[in-house]
Amino acid sequence: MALSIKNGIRNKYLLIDLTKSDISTFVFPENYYEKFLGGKAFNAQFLLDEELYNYDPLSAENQVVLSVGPVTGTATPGVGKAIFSTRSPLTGGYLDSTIGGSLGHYLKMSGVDGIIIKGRSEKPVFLEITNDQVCLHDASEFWGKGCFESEKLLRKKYGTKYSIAVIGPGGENLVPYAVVHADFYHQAGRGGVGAVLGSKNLKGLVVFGNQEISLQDSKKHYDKTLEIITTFHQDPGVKFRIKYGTMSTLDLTQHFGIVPVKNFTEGITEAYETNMNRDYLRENYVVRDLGCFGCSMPCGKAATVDFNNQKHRVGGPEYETISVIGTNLEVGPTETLYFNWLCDDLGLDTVSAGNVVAYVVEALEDGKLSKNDLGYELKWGSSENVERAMQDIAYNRDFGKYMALGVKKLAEELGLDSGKAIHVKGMELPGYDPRGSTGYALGYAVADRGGCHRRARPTRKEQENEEFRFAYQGKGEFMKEQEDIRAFYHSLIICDFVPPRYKLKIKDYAEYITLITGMEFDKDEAIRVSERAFTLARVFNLKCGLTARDDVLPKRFYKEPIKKGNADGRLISWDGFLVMREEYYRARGWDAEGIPTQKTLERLGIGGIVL
Amino acid sequence: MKSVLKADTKKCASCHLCGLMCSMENYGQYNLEKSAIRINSNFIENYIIKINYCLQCKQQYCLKACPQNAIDVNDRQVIVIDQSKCDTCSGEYLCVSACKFNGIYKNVGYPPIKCDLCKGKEPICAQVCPLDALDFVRG
Repeated sequence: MALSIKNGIRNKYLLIDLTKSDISTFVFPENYYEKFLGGKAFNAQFLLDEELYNYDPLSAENQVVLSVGPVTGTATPGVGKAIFSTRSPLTGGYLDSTIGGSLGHYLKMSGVDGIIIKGRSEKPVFLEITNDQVCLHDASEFWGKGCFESEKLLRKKYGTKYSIAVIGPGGENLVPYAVVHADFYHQAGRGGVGAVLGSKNLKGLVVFGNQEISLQDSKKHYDKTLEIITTFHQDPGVKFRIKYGTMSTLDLTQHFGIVPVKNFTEGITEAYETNMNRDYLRENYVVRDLGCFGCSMPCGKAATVDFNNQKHRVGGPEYETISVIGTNLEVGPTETLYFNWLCDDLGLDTVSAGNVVAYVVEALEDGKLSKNDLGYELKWGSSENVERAMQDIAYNRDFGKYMALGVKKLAEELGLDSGKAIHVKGMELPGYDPRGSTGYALGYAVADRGGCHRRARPTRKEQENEEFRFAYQGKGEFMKEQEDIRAFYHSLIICDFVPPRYKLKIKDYAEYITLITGMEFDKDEAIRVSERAFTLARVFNLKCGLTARDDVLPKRFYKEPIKKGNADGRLISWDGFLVMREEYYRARGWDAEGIPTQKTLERLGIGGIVL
Repeated sequence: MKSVLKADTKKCASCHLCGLMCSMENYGQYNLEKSAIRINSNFIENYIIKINYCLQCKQQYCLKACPQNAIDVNDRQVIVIDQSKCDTCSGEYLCVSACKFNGIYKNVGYPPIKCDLCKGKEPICAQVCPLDALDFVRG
């Protein structure tokens, strides 16, 4: 069958075999672009094709695929994302992790749809892609250096045009929640892609390209884009988002009473009234606004923070860090921004790191751990020794060795209370307490990559309807729909923040697919792409040994009511939870054990998978 | 008074949307190499953002440097390139080296890339800039 997509894609991947120091090109089966588009769905199929569930995530046999999608390289609203997928060292299962900045754009402009990284280099290397010139270089001089210093040195060599992505000490030392850090303030944050690159001795990527992409109808694409951008140019919602970025999420979570405080024991923060709020942060730390490549709603922030008489430039703060490090540990904004900078430099995910530190603080408070175990104290409301803890995590030393395991394995290894370890499938939870949003309770539990808030966002509807916020009935169908919206966007690949602000729906992006590729495409097919993505990820997880037993929340959320705020006294009913989960499985066409049925696989055109 | 494009670098978020849209409006492809406005930043060193484009300057360095007389000033006081006359100085682009404001760019094999204020329309970069960092003042 001839490839029906003739435009908007490169039909080419780079295959980087680090063991052999060999670079070649890889062409996917012709129908993959129609069935999976790109990004998330495409990568999910790749992980299964390569049977990566058979290999240790940190072994040479594991692979990382970095993809863009059909919209990448254009000015389609929300463009500016790329997506890494691999087997996660944090969960042992499926992982995808998106990254903003210009990496996706320049990768596509270099002439490919993505790269596949396999094997393990003998010595540290970095990958250079300059259009068709692709080579590996010695990275010995960068190995051991922080993300900021590494980028700085690479920029001296390559200049400002390139997208530069690196790992820090966290990735080098195989911390399973190490990030890939790019272009000063972007991260593929969750699940440990940084550790997988570290295990391969790949310090980073420098990417530049300027090769024209042919579009099916560039005039219509341009006219449509211009109309959307200019229509919403002065829209208050768009302007608000640009001004505050994700910092305004704290307004919502504080109102809902779902802010993480003291390892998810309380639901609101008093600091919101004084210095933990969007206006205080913007006025006192933010220096200028920043954006991902080609974004019409740039919501990034460039901040400076003075800590211990040293001035640091840091991207953000983003809500997840404000909450999971800031409010969760009850430290102030200056400390939060400094720890944000520190984690970025060390190459650690702030969400996982914040949870791990909070868990240890609580264990110390409960007397389950002592100062002697750590060699130092950690307390709520105190920044003292947090820096040391984070350094020890990244360098895998002293008590940091345990903290570097992630909160699930830390609890298991030390025989501590696993019910208070805030994670799903080993991935620590972000800044929304699920007891005040049954949507998130279900969403976290069934999320393909573990405790993640980015697969689906229930809060818009829950905000409008207080009863629905705490309801168990109807949540399964609802969350499946929400996930399908996101998975389609992550397969294009665009940022999911953008469409709602521009009142753009799936059908609008389906039209974009046609304008870019020439392929007939509609909303129904878009949903099928998403359904394929989730079902393929599910199959991958099952093959990794993750089952319905892993689709659960930590015991804390079923046993202990949340304290304070508008969800005060709430917890998640186990029976109610099961109702949601069963409904969700059914909506996905999976059986009562969460296993995709043969009928579903066939309906989605991915039959032939042996479960 | 002639029309001018003004830039406020403090507002710029370095998203490059201006450049992407400029390149498609004027050169038929999304490609910063084909854009008449260039954003340059290096946040790893500092928070300074530079915005470069043709200022339609009085000095007219490019015009004076062109051996083919391919560069002229039109009746709107905009410096324009006669594509049929430009021979790229056999790839040397003397206009590009002459410009002291980094406002005209090489375009291998083709006449150089330079802002002509979107031929009298409101420049596309100013229309789309999300931070209103670009302001078109019509003369």
